[in-house]
Amino acid sequence: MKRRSHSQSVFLMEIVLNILIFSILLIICLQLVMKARRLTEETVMLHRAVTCCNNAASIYRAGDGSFTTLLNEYTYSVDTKKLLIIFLDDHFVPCRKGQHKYTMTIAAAEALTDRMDRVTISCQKGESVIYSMEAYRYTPLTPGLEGRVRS
Amino acid sequence: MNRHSGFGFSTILLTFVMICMATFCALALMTAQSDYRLSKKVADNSDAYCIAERNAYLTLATIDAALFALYDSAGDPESYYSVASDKIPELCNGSYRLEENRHLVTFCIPISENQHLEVELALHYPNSGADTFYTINRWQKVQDADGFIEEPLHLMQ
Repeated sequence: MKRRSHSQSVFLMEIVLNILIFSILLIICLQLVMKARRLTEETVMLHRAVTCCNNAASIYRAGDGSFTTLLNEYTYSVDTKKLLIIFLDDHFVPCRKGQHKYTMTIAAAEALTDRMDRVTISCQKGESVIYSMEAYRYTPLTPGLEGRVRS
Repeated sequence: MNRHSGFGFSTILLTFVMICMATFCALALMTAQSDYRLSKKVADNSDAYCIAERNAYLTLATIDAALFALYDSAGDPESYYSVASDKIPELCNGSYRLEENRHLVTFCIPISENQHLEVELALHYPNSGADTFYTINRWQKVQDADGFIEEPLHLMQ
């Protein structure tokens, strides 16, 4: 009877110890999974922000240096002359103000030369910047612009 | 014998489950980290391209200024092209070639260690005030040959 009780207590001890180790490992594993999930979310966010900023940069380059082309493409954007605010939903698709989760701002920066316009494009979630880049647009020189047309 | 049948089994089972869980978590984290690194690399590459593009535009501005001065001083297209073929490649560290009556200037702007932006211009002698001094024939991101040297995929990094 005594031997049986000893064996049972060892078995119980084993179970308790196993549960304890399992719990510790489970906590560590959960933390790792949470970290992986957070990293994946950040990756998706960064990737979409980069794509979004590059798209806006391409539209800007194709335009005339003003925000007109961008305003045509992003209809729900807000233009404050120096700054264009584009509202993006959780899939980084342009949407109306209020339905947005992210914002993309396009700010006119100081031109590098008289023919080279520059804008700063940045994607934000609230106050934190996800990705920011600069886009340039160059207007080639023509003799006519300088008033020296040669026949 | 019957009395000891359950003894140790739970430990073996749990060890197996824990190894599986730990492996799964480690793999999930490694994949997430490598994805994030790749995204960062894409973002850095995009930044590098923007810088290269800015440098290319600055080079174009220099070429424009030089061609404008040439256009002012040269009396005819022949002398314009003759001086341009010497001066423009020097200005942009590029090369000049005449191909099917087209005066082509090519220059490269480095983007990263194994990528560069290749720009090819066809020079013009402007006939009207609205004509530009060149047409951009090529604006291409080119992978250097060194970049293709059997670089393995770092799956386990």
